[in-house]
Amino acid sequence: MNRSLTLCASLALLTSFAAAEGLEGFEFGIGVGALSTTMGKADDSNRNLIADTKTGTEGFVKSIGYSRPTMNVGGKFKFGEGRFKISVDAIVSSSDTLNIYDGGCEDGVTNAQYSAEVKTALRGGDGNYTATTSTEAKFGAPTATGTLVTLENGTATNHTDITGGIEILATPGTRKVTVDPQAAFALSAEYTFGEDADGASLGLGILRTSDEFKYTGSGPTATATAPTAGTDAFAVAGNKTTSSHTAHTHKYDESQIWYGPCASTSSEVTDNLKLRASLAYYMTEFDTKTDAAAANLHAKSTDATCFMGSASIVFNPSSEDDS
Amino acid sequence: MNKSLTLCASLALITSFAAAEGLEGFNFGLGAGFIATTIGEADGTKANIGAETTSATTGNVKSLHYARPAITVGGSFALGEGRFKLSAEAFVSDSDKLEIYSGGVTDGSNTKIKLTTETAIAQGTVPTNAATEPLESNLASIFNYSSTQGKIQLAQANGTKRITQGLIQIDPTFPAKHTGRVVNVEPKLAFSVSAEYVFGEDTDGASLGLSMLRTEDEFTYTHNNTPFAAVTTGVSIHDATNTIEHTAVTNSTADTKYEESALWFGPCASAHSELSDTLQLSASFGYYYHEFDAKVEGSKHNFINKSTDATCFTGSAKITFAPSSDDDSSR
Repeated sequence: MNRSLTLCASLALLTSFAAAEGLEGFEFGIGVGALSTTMGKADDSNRNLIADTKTGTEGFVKSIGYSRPTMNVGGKFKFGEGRFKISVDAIVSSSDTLNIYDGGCEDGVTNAQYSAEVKTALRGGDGNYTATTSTEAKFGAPTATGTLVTLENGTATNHTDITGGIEILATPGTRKVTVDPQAAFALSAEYTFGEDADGASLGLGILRTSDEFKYTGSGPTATATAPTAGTDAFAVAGNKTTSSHTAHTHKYDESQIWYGPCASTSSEVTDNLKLRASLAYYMTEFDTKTDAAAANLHAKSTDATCFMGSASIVFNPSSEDDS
Repeated sequence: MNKSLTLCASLALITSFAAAEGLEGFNFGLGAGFIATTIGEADGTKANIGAETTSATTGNVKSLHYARPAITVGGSFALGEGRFKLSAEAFVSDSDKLEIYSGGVTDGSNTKIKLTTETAIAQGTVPTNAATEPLESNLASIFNYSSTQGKIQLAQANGTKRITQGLIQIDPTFPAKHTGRVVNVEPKLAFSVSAEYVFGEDTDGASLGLSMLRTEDEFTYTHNNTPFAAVTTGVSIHDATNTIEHTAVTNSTADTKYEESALWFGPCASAHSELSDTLQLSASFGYYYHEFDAKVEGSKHNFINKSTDATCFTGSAKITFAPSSDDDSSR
């Protein structure tokens, strides 16, 4: 809603400029494009993404990226005898949730340790373990092969029906990042070479994104199995897992401002229609995405880059006026 | 080397066309651009990337993405009175290795740790006075049992002593370090060839068409088969010898490289505008599709388990030089 208002405000601003000028120098268009976002540097040594704990200051992932096809709607206003132009574009894409990272926990040394607890119940059958005295039951020494020996009324008995060992099966936790792409807006100021209606432009742009990230983590699990059942079998009484990474789902939906160079060319298709191709390369820095109750998506501030490209059909009312 | 030759051949082809036409309709340029590649569908349901076993038919990861800036070099040749053009463009980017995925397993059913105690769980030093010491003391010795870990209870019924509950706690710690799933890519030279219809002037127009992109990026899938460290603490079974097994992860830890070339197809658009009589600014944009075959190696874990759709965006802005315009102006 907030973004829609921003879009409306931007377009209204541009339209009012156009109205003030009687549509002179005003163009609007619609097209298709792509937006490619990369957080972190894949060729760097820093691992700032996907921390295992809420106190982790380092993650284990260097970069996460995603791209999406877009529909672009926008307008531009030229001034200074067509030498300069200001453009506003709304970049809309499917809002389907994108899974941009699937992985398991990484740092087992300090963060993702867990344990499995096996509590076994040593069970005695009727008549076993009858004490030699009225108050005591006894265990005897184990045999050379290690079977459990009990003393029943002073007589040693091997309990060979205890077979197998205790098994603990442990599985790792998971880390997942999804993103819900939201509308993005680009505002650029460019210098135009050549003819104003049919020229090439270079300039600087600002991109505003509000993509909503969700970082989900789960702790590890472990299960235990007891030795094969027997009269004296050990049975699992309970398991537990511990991990300093607690299960969490956390949303980060801050808006982000990006800056960078942009270039575009537009060429006449008819008197008042043009094909415009534009490219931009934006940079920003994501702040640490920290939540006191959850592990961090961005353990540290992370550089990010964004490529944007689009091809639009542009309508130029003033050309019609001219003609 | 092979790629360089292919690039040279492509440019030579265009140049020879140009030479045959006396540079009429030919231009070449240099600029900057990007290639953004996505393998898999982030909004799909299939996780085809990163298998846990050699025989797995599904992976853990839905999509991988990487993007890189590139220097672009290219040329185009106009045909049919400037209504059509053939273009070739090479994308040269930094060949530094990119780590595009680092993570651990998510499929615990295939990768797990199994701690197995030996059967001789009770083997240990039994007090010499076993016959006379209370049961609880002997258990404490045999199982390294401590009163903080549970409670042995004896129940008396009709003069028969039964052990009704005896708790032994095994509390090992598993450091779950999963460094073993890493995908690196070494970007290689990419180049595109496109055929476009031109609106407007050939040196100052807009174009729409179809294009083919060839990439040869080299992927390395590292699959470490020891994702779990050894149990470090907490095994408190006295004198028992415990063994640690890593199940279902039995193959090599060696890296597996996949360096097949890929051909991508898709629509493209470009617009070019005159900066001077012989110089233009050309911006072009391509959206390509490709299907990666399953990347399977018999003894290694699979990088891509099943055929996986991929998309690639390219964009470039070039300053182009059109010698023919120079010729025209001199006439």
